[in-house]
Amino acid sequence: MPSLTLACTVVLADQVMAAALDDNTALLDPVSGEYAALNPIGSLVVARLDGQTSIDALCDQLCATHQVEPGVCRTDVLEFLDSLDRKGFLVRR
Amino acid sequence: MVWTYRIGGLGVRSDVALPCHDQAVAAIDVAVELVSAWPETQPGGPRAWMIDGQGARLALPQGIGLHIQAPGRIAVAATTEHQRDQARLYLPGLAFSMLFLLRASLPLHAGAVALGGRAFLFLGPSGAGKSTLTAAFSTLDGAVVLADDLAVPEWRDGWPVLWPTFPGLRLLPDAAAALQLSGTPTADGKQWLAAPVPLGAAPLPLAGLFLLGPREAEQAIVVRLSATAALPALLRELKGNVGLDALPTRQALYAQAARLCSQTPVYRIGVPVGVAGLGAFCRHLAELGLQPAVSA
Repeated sequence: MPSLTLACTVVLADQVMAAALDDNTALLDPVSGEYAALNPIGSLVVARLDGQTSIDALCDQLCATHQVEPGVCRTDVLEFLDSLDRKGFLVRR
Repeated sequence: MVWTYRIGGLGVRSDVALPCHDQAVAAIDVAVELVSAWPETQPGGPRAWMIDGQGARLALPQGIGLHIQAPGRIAVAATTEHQRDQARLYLPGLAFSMLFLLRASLPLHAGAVALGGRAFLFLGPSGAGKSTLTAAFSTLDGAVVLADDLAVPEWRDGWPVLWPTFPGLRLLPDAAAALQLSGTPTADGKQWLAAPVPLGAAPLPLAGLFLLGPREAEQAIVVRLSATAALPALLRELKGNVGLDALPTRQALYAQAARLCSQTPVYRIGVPVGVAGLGAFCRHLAELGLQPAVSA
């Protein structure tokens, strides 16, 4: 599967379950058994995956509300979402 | 004959005698009923649950059938005395675990002991030494067994608590002898040690979840896990012989497991080899669990 790009729009796959764990989020795919524990920023990113907003636009939102350099934000978010995509947590819209 | 029990906080009326104390209950939440007919063949074969909108069905090798109709009925297809005796063995683990899963309650593969007003849970797969550790812990002063193999936390006032389920222990004879405990021989060669008295007008808050690691630990190990590390480990100790993905209640179960890991200390433990050091190890776990309660 090719890596995600900033133009991609993604959402959590239907079977993936998410649960709050203090300030973190735990994702589990009960079919594959894949599990991921997200820190608060990762949790925030995943919470904003609505299947309509591109990754680029999502990064714009994050930059508007958090002190982060736009280039760093795009690199980090793309890398983070790519890691979730490789585990099968995401579907592309 | 009909028996009534309190199992994991549920009032149960049963046509089959179960390994817990017969006691009056204020309300019946679950009926365990003997039925004569098993209406369907099962495509998954023995020991594979078939789950659909009608509940969960399981055909067992001796011609016994279980049909779990949540929230409140377990139908047991068993017509002969032998089948009823066999069904009695399957009800505590298989049937009640599935009932709790379908009720969106967490049936954990755990022994549990009350001490100091709190419940200590010892989790692990069969053969991990859970019953031996539970038995050893139950020999501490004031300790009482709440469960051998199935423990089902629930929430009261926002915090996890535990009622007794099947309060007795099934121990290998050598473990029972080493701990100087004696019970009734069971059909599978173990010793059954029933808890001496009916327990609990109220559920107990949890002291901690203790996950058994390698059986032959060179030395005692106790490591507190973060909630994110504890969650997948806890999910592996869900009873029921079924994957989460097969359950209509999976999201609620997952959320509860996460909540449990957030609110209760979870430890990975390695039990020392042999029973000689078990007493001191149990006292150490008791001290950990009886520290002032704080969320993780």
